[in-house]
Amino acid sequence: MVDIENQLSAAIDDRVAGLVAATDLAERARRGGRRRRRAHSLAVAAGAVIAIGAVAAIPMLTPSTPAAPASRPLRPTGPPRFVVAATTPVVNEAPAPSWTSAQPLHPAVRPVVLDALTGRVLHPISVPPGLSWSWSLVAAAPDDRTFVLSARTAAPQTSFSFYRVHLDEDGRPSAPTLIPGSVSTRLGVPRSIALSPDATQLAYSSDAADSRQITIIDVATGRRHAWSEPRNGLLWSASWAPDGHRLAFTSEGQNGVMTVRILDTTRPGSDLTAASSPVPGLSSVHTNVWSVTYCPDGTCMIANGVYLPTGSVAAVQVAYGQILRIPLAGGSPVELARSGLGRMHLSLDGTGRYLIYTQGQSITRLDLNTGQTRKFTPAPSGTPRAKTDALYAAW
Amino acid sequence: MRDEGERSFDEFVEARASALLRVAYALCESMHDAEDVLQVALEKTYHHWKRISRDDPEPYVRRIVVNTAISGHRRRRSRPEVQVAAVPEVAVRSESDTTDLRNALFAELRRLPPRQRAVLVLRFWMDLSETETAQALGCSVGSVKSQASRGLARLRAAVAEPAWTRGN
Repeated sequence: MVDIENQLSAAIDDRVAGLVAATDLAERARRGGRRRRRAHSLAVAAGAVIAIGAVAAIPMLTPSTPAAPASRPLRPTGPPRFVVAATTPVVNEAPAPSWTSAQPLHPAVRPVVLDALTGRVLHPISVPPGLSWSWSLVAAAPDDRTFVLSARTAAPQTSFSFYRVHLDEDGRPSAPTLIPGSVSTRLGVPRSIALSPDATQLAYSSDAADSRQITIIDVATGRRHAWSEPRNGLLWSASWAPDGHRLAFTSEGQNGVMTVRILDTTRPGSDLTAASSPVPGLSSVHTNVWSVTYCPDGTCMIANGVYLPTGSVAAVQVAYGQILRIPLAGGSPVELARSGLGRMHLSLDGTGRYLIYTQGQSITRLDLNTGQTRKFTPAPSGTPRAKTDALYAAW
Repeated sequence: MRDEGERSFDEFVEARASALLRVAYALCESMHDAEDVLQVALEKTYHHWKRISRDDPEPYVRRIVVNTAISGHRRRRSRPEVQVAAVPEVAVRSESDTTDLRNALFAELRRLPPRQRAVLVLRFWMDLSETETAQALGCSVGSVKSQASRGLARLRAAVAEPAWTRGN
């Protein structure tokens, strides 16, 4: 039986993907005259824009683009059908080493699989023996079926482990597979995790009182490599480029502002400062970029930030949250939607069309093609969720 | 409308024109028609920008796009011929069953009456609810349900009997 609605949606997706409007539409609308019918010229122009964009992207991407990834990226299976959501209990954000003894303020909540359209809870996710449900982060591969989650060791709660689950066509999760090795909280708790497009590498960010680091784990063997820098401040979000070699992440500067950087994971050594570089194009009005995710074609990033108009005095009054598309070939970021202020987590599906972002207890689904949003708050599974929990979700 | 209004209109067009073009293309029969529809919609939007920009303007503009696409179809029906740049798209066999299926679905979507097509695009591509779809099209929820049902039935029939086999 063909799922005609989803296939239709995918069919339209296939046809409209990459369509770009002409750049002088506002001026034409202002002139008011009906555009003369010029056969093919605009279609050609639109195609040219795409082609020029692709060509222009190459010089920007080439210098740090290493050899092709070892294995093929997992392919999206169509519009996302499932979301995996989990929560991280909020503890006092005192600097480490108090992290190591930080205890959740309330019972943990079990991670769940949600229906991607309605937010309905479909299935709970089991956690491997010896791990607790507490402190779960989530990362997804582009196929919307392969996920990695984090969990604390049950006792003493001084380390973390990661495990994989795979969803079947009904969203039912497989038995969890533990990724070898564990992470000590001595270097801080994981802030975010990101699964490479081929699902063979897991990256996580962590920060402690006097250093912060990005660590990459080979999912099969548990072998790991870390890049660190001797500074405090948050490393909040991580996202793999489609080449499986570059990793975007957000980091807190000495002025307290969050910015986006890109780590070249093929660089030797372990100096995070030397191996990473800032993303161009973000001006001073786009401040505090908390979360970032690569577009599947690698030509742009989607990020959330705070827009602070130049010259604003009453910043609190006028600043607002934005979901931005940041072109990596140059050019200014483009606002896709407005969001709340503050921390959030983004997850872009494998097709690059659907974004979810979590803020507070809600998940917002944003269709980047149409601008349509849908917000849902997943029902708790297991014990009740505290309002201060941070919600993580990925597809 | 100068200065702030002009600037915000420019920003809106820059940010949303491509997304609106995709909506128009899903509703129209060709890229040229889609560009015309978008152009007309933005002209109408510009004239009323001061009023509609107080709230989220996108649903308003999207509604103009949908209605312009539907009314444009009526006008185009009276035209004796249409020049095209390439051979009209037809569903063809390919290596992939999925590609076959999607080609067939999109080709059949283009053959649907414009309002039926609009209902399917709004409901199943843009994920609008039945109520939202009815509001966008200015019709009743019952009409949306019946149009969606008929449209899906035609698409199912097209999948059961692919376009490339018809007329052989």
